Amino acid sequence: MSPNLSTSDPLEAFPDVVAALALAMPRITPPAHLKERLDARLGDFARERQASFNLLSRPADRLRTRLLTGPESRRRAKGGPLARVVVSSCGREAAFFCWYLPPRERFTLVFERADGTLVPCARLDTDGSGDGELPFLTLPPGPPLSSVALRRAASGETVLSARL
Amino acid sequence: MESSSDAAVSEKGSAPAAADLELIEKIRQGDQSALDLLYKRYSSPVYSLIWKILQNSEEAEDVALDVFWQVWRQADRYDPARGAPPAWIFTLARSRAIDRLRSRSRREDRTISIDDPNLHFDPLDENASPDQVVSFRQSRDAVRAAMEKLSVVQREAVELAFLKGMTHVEISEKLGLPLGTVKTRIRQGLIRLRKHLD
Repeated sequence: MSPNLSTSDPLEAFPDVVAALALAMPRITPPAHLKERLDARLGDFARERQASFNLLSRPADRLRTRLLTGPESRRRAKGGPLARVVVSSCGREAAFFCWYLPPRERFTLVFERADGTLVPCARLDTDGSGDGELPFLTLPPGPPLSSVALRRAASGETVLSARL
Repeated sequence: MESSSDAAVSEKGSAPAAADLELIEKIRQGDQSALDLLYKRYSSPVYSLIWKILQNSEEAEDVALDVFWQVWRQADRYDPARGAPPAWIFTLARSRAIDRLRSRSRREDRTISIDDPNLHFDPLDENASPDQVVSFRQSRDAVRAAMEKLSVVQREAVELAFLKGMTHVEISEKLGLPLGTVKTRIRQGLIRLRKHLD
């Protein structure tokens, strides 16, 4: 029996061998529109970043910034889920950032208005580290927002929430 | 815009690690032209690897897009201590393709091989330079020679892990061998491969 070997991916400790095997495989030219799609995504990202920058660089009195906490306790364990939401005082724009969530999972960001109506705003997929962000969101006009919640897309369970 | 030095590097096909490191550093700083160059250099082998794992053009395209997007967004997470940039990029590509394969929740039991003769598309882009063709053939021949030095079981196990993303346990079950034996044989096989490819 070999000690200390992973029971998961046998190639985990051999990225150089992965690269060598990949480079030696018969080549297939990717479709031209793959690059077009990448460029389009980069363009959208740049525009979103600019909009996010414009939002986040507003004076503090024109923004509401909140940390989201779990439903059970307001005291967050080290490495526990954490999120921050920034909403413009007019309630029409927001930015959302989260860390230490389950990796590669889909969530839904849901705002609640003062009149009780829910505004499912966007879907968010965490990356391999459990981080995620929605750097710029346009919220539909309407009554003032009163709270925000991050819910698991599959079960609807609220993972983090905050009053606004 | 591609600089003359970049053009010289890309014409050599297998880019020096130092040039790739420079590109990663530029990408980290938000230089989109560096991503363009990296894409030009690696899109074909990345797409080919993903295609080989998924056997589906649409899915391969989506996954390849995500890989280059991840390179753009997470260049600051690249750790040179864990390998040269191609090692990082191909590991990302393989992991994402295998994630997609697993998410299909079905695994076709087909025969696979690194050198599957049915998958010999154009060896390189039609615009490939003679140097690139030579470089590709050299790496392919080196890998073939290195694979031939493995035992049949080692070779099969490495291919199952590389292209199907099977774990030690799954390979052990598939080959009907004890888990410890599988772990040892794969590890020894990969160390041998690494030695021959060096």
